[in-house]
Amino acid sequence: MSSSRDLTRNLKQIAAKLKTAAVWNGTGLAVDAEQDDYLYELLCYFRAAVAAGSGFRLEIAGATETNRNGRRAARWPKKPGKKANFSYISLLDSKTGAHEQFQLCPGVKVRDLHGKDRAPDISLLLANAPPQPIYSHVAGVWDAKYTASEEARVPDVAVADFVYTFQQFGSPKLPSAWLGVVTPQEWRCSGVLTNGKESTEPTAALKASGIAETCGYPSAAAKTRP
Amino acid sequence: MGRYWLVRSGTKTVELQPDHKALTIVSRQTPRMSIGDTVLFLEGWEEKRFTATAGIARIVEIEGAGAEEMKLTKVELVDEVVLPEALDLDSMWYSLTIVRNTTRPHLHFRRGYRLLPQEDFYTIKKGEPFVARSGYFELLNALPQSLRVSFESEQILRAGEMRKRAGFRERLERLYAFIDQRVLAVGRLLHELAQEITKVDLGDAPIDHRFVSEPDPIQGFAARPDELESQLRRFAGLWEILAKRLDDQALPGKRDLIGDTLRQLDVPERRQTEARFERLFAAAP
Repeated sequence: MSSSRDLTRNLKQIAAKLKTAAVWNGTGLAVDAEQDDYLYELLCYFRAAVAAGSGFRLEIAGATETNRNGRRAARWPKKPGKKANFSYISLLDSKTGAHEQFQLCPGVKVRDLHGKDRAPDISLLLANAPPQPIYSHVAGVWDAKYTASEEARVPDVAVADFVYTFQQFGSPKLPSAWLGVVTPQEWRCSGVLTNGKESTEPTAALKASGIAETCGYPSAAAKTRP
Repeated sequence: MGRYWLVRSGTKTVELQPDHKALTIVSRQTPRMSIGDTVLFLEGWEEKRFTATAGIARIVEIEGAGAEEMKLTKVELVDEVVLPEALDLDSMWYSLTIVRNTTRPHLHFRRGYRLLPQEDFYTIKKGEPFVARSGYFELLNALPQSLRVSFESEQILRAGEMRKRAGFRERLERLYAFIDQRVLAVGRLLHELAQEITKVDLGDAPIDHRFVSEPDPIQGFAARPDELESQLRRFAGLWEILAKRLDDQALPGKRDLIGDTLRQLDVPERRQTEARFERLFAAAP
């Protein structure tokens, strides 16, 4: 049996390391899963990029910075913002390595049918979409919903909210150039992804709305419906 | 019955003879120490430790008979008992009932001498800390302010609903769950994100990844960016220590050093000591 003093010493050492890890290195803000859900959105975003990598050449585009050591740094959004302020991944023709086919964007604002800016967590835009894209540039959209408890269901209202956004973009259909390349089910239809459980929305309702819902993502047990 | 005094070396008020045979005290009022009381020594500069105990044999007022004068008192000591192993103050302070300021516990040990409740004397002499309370405050104080406030608010609401305050074993367990959900979860997401990024072929030139906000429309400047690699390095030290295992038989359930420690608190041999402390601190903050 470990001595009480050993146990206390261990906890003190954990506390010392926790103190460093629990603060962000740049802003000095608290690390907090409730505030930092953009990390889950980016995790989903890069999963989409991996899926796209099988058929496109990928290139970082948009706004980037140069570090003090001269390395290029991509800028990923913590909150939705203007496309011009952030990086995105340009999907190029895999054979020529040129000719943009799509732009895979993180949470950037896109103007909808009625002139309102909306920012899905992930958007697939058509090639050469401008810095201020509008609904006609949208090929597909996804929202990523992080929950602290993986037993929690994604709320129905989050699905309904996504359906509304999707409709305000004109319910775009994913083009065959994307569908011909990308095989994972969750990226073959616009939709909602969550690390939690599925909503209580009937599958038929999702189907009728033209969206998908993926739960348990990105675990091995992830399921997409319809 | 004699009382117990904690005496600290290296202060303006107390000068301790190296052989623990006597100490001199400079003070405004004559110390209330009596023959038959027991003194416990706290010594060291950077790392303060409880080192020994001794009995008070004689008290001699050397100077300062007048009411307004500073008093110089010599306290002669006998029967020194060296503590079996020098005990670090900072590994024991959350086990002492005199420590009410749990964010700045050192403040309770600034004075040259102070009375010590019998329970605290017994705790130090035994050399066994209250693991649950020590772990609870160590971890709680390691959290940034916003998380600490969030956790404590939850606990106050819960205590209101339950109409009683939880013991420290329970509080430590809840804090562990909170840290897991709010902090460690971010570490896991960062790790998964970094792994996913390595699977994406973004060309030959290495690229760093920053998390940024848009410039503040009012203040007109953006905060310093948070960097993926730097934060992963910050978490690496934490993962390393959490992965440490206690030299005990395989224990079921969630495995990391905090989880293992919680299970260790339930081992019969330790449960009795922790239960004594839980009773002692039932009314403490």
